[in-house]
Formats: sequence, structure tokens, C-alpha cells
Amino acid sequence: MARVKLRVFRFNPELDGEPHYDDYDLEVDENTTVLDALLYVKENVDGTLTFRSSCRMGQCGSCAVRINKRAGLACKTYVHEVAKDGVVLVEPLDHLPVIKDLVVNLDQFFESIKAVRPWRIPASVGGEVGGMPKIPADELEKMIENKQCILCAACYSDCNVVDVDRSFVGPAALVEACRFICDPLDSHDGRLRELVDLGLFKCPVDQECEVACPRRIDIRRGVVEYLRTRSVEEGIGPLPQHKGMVECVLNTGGSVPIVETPATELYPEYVKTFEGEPQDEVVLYLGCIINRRLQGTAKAIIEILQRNRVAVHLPKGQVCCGSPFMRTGQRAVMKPFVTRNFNIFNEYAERGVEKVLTSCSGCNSTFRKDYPKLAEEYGIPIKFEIYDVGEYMAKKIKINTRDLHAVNVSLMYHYPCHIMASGLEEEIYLNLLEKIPGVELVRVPKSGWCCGGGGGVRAAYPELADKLAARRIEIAEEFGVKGLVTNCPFCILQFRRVLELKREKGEEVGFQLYDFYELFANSYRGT
Amino acid sequence: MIVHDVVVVGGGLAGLRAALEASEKVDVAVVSKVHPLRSHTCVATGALHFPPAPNEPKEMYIYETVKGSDYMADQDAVEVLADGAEVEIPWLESWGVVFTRDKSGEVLRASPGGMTTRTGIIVSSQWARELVMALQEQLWKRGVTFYNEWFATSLLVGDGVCRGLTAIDIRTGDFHVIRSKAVILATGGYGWVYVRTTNSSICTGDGAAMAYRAGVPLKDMEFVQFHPTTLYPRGTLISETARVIGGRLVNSEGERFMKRYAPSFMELAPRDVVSQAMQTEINEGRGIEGKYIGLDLTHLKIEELEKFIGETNIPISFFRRRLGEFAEIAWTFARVDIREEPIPVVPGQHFCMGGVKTNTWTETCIKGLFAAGECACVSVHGANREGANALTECVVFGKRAGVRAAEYAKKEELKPAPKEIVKREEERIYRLLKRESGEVRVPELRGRLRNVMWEKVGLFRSEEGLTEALKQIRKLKESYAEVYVEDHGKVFNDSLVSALELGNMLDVAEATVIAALTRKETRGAHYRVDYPHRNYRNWTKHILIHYHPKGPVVSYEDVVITRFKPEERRY
Repeated sequence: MARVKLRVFRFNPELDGEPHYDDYDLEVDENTTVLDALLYVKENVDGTLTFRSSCRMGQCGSCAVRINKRAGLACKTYVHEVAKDGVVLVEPLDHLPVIKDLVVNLDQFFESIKAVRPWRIPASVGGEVGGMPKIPADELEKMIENKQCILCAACYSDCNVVDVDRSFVGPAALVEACRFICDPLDSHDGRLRELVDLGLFKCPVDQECEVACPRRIDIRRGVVEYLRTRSVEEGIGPLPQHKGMVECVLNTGGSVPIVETPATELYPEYVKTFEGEPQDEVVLYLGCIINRRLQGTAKAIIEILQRNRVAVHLPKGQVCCGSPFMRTGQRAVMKPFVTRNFNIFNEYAERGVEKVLTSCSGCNSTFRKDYPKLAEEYGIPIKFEIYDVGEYMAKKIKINTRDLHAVNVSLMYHYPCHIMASGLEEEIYLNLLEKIPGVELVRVPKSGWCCGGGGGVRAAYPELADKLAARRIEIAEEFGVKGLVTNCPFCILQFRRVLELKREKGEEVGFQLYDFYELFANSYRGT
Repeated sequence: MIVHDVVVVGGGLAGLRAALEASEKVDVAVVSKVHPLRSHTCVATGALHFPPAPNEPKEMYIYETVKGSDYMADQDAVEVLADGAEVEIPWLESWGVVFTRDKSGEVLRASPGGMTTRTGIIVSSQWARELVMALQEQLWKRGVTFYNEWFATSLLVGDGVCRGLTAIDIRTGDFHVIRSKAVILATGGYGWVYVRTTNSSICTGDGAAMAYRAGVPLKDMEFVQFHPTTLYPRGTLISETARVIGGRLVNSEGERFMKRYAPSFMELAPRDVVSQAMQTEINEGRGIEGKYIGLDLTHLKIEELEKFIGETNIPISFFRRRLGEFAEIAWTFARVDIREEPIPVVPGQHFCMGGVKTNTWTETCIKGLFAAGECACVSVHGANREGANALTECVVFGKRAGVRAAEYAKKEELKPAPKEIVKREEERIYRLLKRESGEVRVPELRGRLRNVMWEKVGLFRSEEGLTEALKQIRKLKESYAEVYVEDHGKVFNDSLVSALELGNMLDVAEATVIAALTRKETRGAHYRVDYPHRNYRNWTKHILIHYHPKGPVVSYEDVVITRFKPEERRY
């Protein structure tokens, strides 16, 4: 048994002008769910506490609430697993008007579902009369996955795009639409085009919805990227700006044009500036953005590795990882790039250098999640191991802390969505930051992982991308935070842009943006 | 003033099917105390019957349903069920449902527990939500009116004619009168009166109680189904499919004890047989840790299944998904890894065979009042319901209710709502909020009710236990008259709704106990330890419970027998 404080959002429109929080001290054991706790409070402590619940087995969707800022089903969440410093914060779903306490008005959510015409449009005339035709069983698998949605609205609550743009249909609507598009008995006519208009390409694929989804629907790859690929196959997508991005890769090998000397050309292929035997040897894959836009980050990473006696191979022939293609549905043309990278990495592995470090979070999640399937598809073996640079620093070497000088900054860590997607916990990077003397790390309860830089949103919907980045800074400032550090090039560019926009508008900008690797490198350099 | 031709109370499978049907001809509205997509139907396994199976006569399905009912089902109703299912099931696929296909691409057929007929089919997502969703989608497309989170509190009946109902809009707390020519009750079962149940907390028998208080008798109330495999201790349902795909029940000695109770059907005997067997094992000291039975799926490793499945027509994806669901439920709600250990299960309340008495066209003895689905008793299930027949009943009789109610509404005039009754109902409701303080609160009374029902009106019943239960329930009803509700607000006062639900629960529970006391034999799910044998000769008749202000009155009705004479069931 343990003591836990249940902190619950309360609002009674008949009595309260403003919401407030009530604390309840409870004894719980390892079997107590958040719903058990709420019911206990209602039946024994405060009968006016109001929330929805029905089946208690994770299937009806009634009890969806936010628990410690993340949406989920109260009946499936164990108190002892989510309590932070002995407190569990329970709030109503976000983005929907509160009726009372934890009960929200879901009308707008159901309207978003209706927006995708979620009813069967028979595939053939006369198909209205059920014939129960023969259908190959495996043709149904995709549809079946998307039929698992219980419309609990947890995804809608956690969706970063809905957060800044209520006109967006939201993840559940996309799942429902996908369900019909994959239904062999549905005519699909116009559905994909309609979906593009409703914002299929507005999703930055940050996957917060997937983390919230109690039915574990594969929203990013199984729905959003799948539908984008279908739209390209059917000539409806991608958006013109996405075509441009892919053309850039096809022409120049990277997703952005070369403006300054790429980092790969600032160094020889083999970089070892320290004396004596290296403790390790790695291949460094920079990714298009760091290589062509954030050369400072590249320099910082190489410096960090040198300071840790790690020799670095910087393949000159490295090309785009293929992520821009996959996120915007243009898989058909990416094979030459992907296979080129495979071959480069395999060659190094055969020479005994098996570790490939990525500096870009997007590349990392692409290598980890997409490349294994692609390798199978293309018939190429995988002889190499993938690490994120930060992950490598934390897990594969004993990092040199002796040479770290004090850097006196107060900041929060922005956890990039693609680092999450790579399966790398936030704690890895928080622990690394805590090694730098003088760094005051502020932990913000939930800032969201989306900077607006993913999924092709920056190219196609720049205003939306700006709003997404601005929201992260807004939330940070609400917590009195004055600085943000992150380890993703897209996040860096997005936040940089938002701060520039503020300055252009003449706003006072006391907020500081830090690149994770430059922060470390500066600490080593004593600057 | 709210007026509709037909009002459907309840947004589950039966209700939405009725609404869709009636909306073809007349103006329909659905009143549901939860959003239809939160209805209890949604959490059931989406299996139905689609007779006849190829190379099988339809009669086989009818026979096995009747036999399964322990010969208490009205056989004319079962024939309607069979004929109806044959015609109605394909329509579901036109509306968005897709049934699981087998390896050859045809609709997958299997036998549910208790049956050998291969009329069982299952929706591709495996959850009955798919059925509700398809109907909700069609109703959205048609623009039918929904009053969601409106709690119906009473039926307006005068001169033997139904004129509509009263309801609270839960969101605002406002009291409303909805006038209509016809009302279809589709409010589901009342399993929440038992502390151990697979039912949702919304299953409080509201429609049955309203009809009962309005003068419609409740039929077959003693027949309450206990599902063999509910997760211990939470009561989460582990669907029968776990046993259909090969799951085994073992006691503390590791024995597959069903061979002693149903040597031929084993774990796939009808639910009453399996539940009683399991409870007997536990009562006789062979429960694991003294408390539960093991449902063993550890031998169903996917690699081995490949070999087994090679011989059947069932695609491997079906097994993967099914096992995945069981794995999720067992891990989430009991922290059990089904690959390593058996799932701890005990019987739990699951379905109510009894309910509002209707004929095969869902008509009650009150003109303009219809009932379909679990809240009704036609009876197609008799003393024990076979798997997949609940959803089949909803589809067939939901449709029939829609047809009949629409026909009726087209012919009839709208009648005035009786003002006196409306006034009294409003007072009855808001009296609950007038008490400023009190000794007795709803959670306490409800807890006591649910415990006494489980302990004394559960799997094994006796004269002594039932009499005690009745006494306690009557005491609870007296306390209920003084119950105190803390929340005096209007907006979303779910405490008020709970209080009204408790009143309904007490009524249907009382009717259940009286029926159980009356039936002095063991039949189907109703097991009397003091009368442990079937008495087909004297007891093949339905017990009806009629509301009366001085106390419920019992009457009888013969079971309709057309084809199959009652005989001892062997499995």
C-alpha cells in the first residue's frame, strides 16, 4: 500500500467562476486504477465529483481524461505507475469545452468525425443490397486495424495541431477515413481528395496521438503516411511544396539546397585530432539539415567525440535518409538514396566500424523503424548498428566530464518527437544535461513534442508550423522558463524562426535557444 | 414541447436498429443516457448467428437454441429469430460492417460454445462496437435526431396507451416531456445489480423498470446468465472465443474437470453448465488458491497454431488478433502473461434472459409500447442463452420493433400527455434533491444490493437464501425512500441519475428474487440447491411478475412448444 495524492480538476459552472483543483489523499496498492481512485473519492469523500465511466474494461471510451497531462483511459491506468512524487493529476480532455469537473462536451469531436463522411458508400450500384461477397482475408487486415478505434478522443486531446488549429479534423477522423479507404466494400470515391482538403498533410507526425491511443492504432505510419502514399499513387498528392522537396533530393542528394559548404566537406573522411589510440571508432551520419544548414552542430558533435577519444568517419557520399519521401507519401522514388546509404554503412561495418551515429533525430527514427523493413524489401542485409549521438554518449562510452566547464544557464529540454519515435527516453538527454556544471534544468510538466518541423508541414503549411513552434515557447514561458535546449535540427530551425519572427514584430525576446551539442561543445571549450 | 412519431430509448444495437428501420417511414428520435457509441453493446464480442449454415438445415440452429434454453424458449419466437437472422444479417454488411472471412474468402463460420451448428459469424474487428458504429453512421447520414445523455425516467401511459415519456437532459438538468405515438424500449439488461458482473455500470434495467411500473409484466426474471470466464477479481469478460479457439479450464489439481460434467462438449458446453461446474469445483475446494479456476491458453503458441490452423479454414490473422486481445486484457487487468500462466477466471453475471414481456412483434400489453433486445423477453433464450444469440436478437427484434412501431405511429393520432402523471414524476425526481442531509446514501444502498444479489441470488440459490435476499431488498427499498443525494446541482448531476437508476435496480432485483423463489426446480441458469432437478412436466411455464402497489403479483404463462419436446440435456 502507498499513499498518493489525487489532484483533480474541479469546475461547477453553477458555483465556480474559475476552475480549481481539489486534493484527495488516498491509500492505493498495485491494483488501483485511476478510475478506482475516482470512484472511491465519489463514493466516500465527495459525491459531487463528476466524471464519465461505464465498462471499466477499456472498451467503451467513456473514461478518457488527462492523467499527468497525457490523455488516456482512467480504467486502464494504474495509479502507482503514473504517480509523480506521489501526485496524480487528473484533468478533463483538452481542446473540448468542460461541462463539469472531468466531463467535457464531445460534440465538436463527433463533428470532426462526421466531416470525413464516416458511412459506407457502396462500391457498386446495387451494392446496397447485401451480398456478403467473397473477399480475400488478408485484404481486410488494414481495415480491421483501423476499426479498432473506440472514439475515446484521447488522441484529439493530445493532438498538437488541434491545439493550435481547431479546424483540423484530428487523428481519429483520419483513422475513420482510413478505415473506409481500406474497406473493399466501400467506393472510396473522392475520399482521399476530400481528406487532403481536410488536412491530411497538416499532420507533423509527432505521434503524441499514438502514445495516447488506448487501442494502439498505428496512426503515423499505418494511417497518415499510408494515406499520403495512396494519395501520391492516385495522383492526388503530394502537395506541390513536397514535390519540390523531393526534387531537391533527387537533384542534390539532400532535402535542402546547398548554400554554404556542407559539413562533410569541412573535414577529411577520417577525423582524429587527439593523440593515442581511440577508445572507439564510429561513422557519423549528419543528415541533410545539419550537413547543409547547421554546420555548427556538426562541428560541435565532432568536437565532443574528439574530446571523448572517439575517431570519426564522415562518409562523403552520404545522402538523404529518405524520410522526406516517406512522410509525404513519395516512397516510389527513394530507393536509390536508401540503398546508397545501406551500402556505405555496410562497407564500413565490413571494415570493422559497425556503429553508425546519427545527429538528426528524424534520420535516427527512420533508420530504426523504416530501414529494417526496407532492407527486407530491397533484399539488402543490415550489418551496422544505429545510435543517436546523445544515446551513444550516454550508453556506449563513459563520457569525459572532467573537461566540462561551467555554463550558467537555466533552461528546459524540448524532447523531439523523433527521439521519442526512436524509442529513446527523455531521461537519457536530461541526465546528460545534468552533467554540465552550472546548467539549471527546469522540468515542465508537459510541453508537447511537436515543433511543427515534421511531416512536411513546414514546407506546405508554414503558418501552422510557426504556430506549433510558438506554442512550445509559449508553454515554456508560462512556466517561467527562459531557455530551451534540444537535439533535433528541425526543432532548432523552427524555434529559431519563431524567435526571429518575434523580433521582426518588435517584440522583446528574452528567450534563449540552445543546441544540445553546441552547449556540450561550448562547455568543453570553456566558452 | 418535444414531439416525435417514434421515440427509441437506448442507443445500443437493438435501439439503433429499430431507429434505422422506423426512420424509413416516420419521424424517429433516439433518447440515450450515454452517447450510443458508449453503449454496453460496444464492449461485447461481435458474434452473431447467420442461419442456415451450408449443408445444414435451419432447424439445427433452432433446435440447438431451444435445447440450450433448457426448453424454456418460446419456439415460435425462435423460429422468428432464425428466419429473421437469415434475412437481416446481410444488410449489416451493406451498412459498413464487414464479417471475418475464412481462408477461402467466404464469411467465416464456427460454432459458439454449447452448439454444433456452424451458424456463428463474427465481425472483422471482433468487437460488437462495429455493429453499433455502422448503424450510428447510417443514422448520422440520415440526420436522425439524437437526445444523447438524456435519462428517460418514466413512461407516460393513460387508458392503456403509451403517450411518450419523461426525461432529464443530464447536461443541463432540465426536465422534459417527450410526446410520441410510440415508444420502443431498448435499454439493455440489469446486470449491474450483481457485484460481480461483466456488465457496464450503465446496465441498470431502466427500461424494464419503467415498463414494469407502467403495468407491463416482467417475464423469466429468474433466469440470469453467469458467464463462465470473467477475470478474477475485476470481473472483466474473457470472451467465450477463448475456449472456442482451444482454451482449457483447469482446477487446482491441474485437471480439465469439465470431463466430469460435460464429457462430450467439455469447455464448450453451454454457459449454465460450465459456470455451475466451475463454481462447484471452487465450492468443493478445488479452486486455485481456493478462489478461481485457470483458463489455460499457454499451449496456444502461434507457431503451434500454424499447424493446427493448417487443418482449418480460419486465417492465422484471426487467431493473432484474438490472442492479442486476450493477452492485452489479461495483462492490463490482472497482470497475467497468457503465454506463461493460465488466466484466473470465475463465473460472473453476464446477461439477463428475463425482461419486459413482448410478443414476437415486440408489442407489450400497452398500446404503442414496444421493447427489443436484452431488456425484452420474447422469449428466444428461455432459461439459458447461447453464445452470439444476444446480438442476433437485437438485430432481428430491433428491426421488428422499428417496423411495428412505425406502422402503429402512421395509423394513430398523437395523444395528450397526462398532466397529473407528469407532475407526480417531476416531484418524484426532484424530491431526491430536496433532502439537505441524510444517513443513507446511494453508494451504500447500491453496494448492499449488489452484494446480497451476488451472495443469495447468484449461481446457486436456495429457499433460505432467496427469502433472506427478498427481506433485505425490501429493507433497502424502505431506506431508498429516504436516500440522500449530495449533489444538488442541475448541470450534469450524475448522482441524481445514479439515485434514479438505483430505484430501477431495486425493482428489477425484487422481481428477480420473487421469480427465483417461485420456480421450485433447477432449470438452465436457475439452480436451486433445494430442488436440484429439472421438472419439465410441471415447470415448463414462464413466471410473470406484475407490479402492484401492495407488492408484486405472480402469474404464469405456458411456454410455446412447436417442434421440440423438452428432454434432459446432455453435453
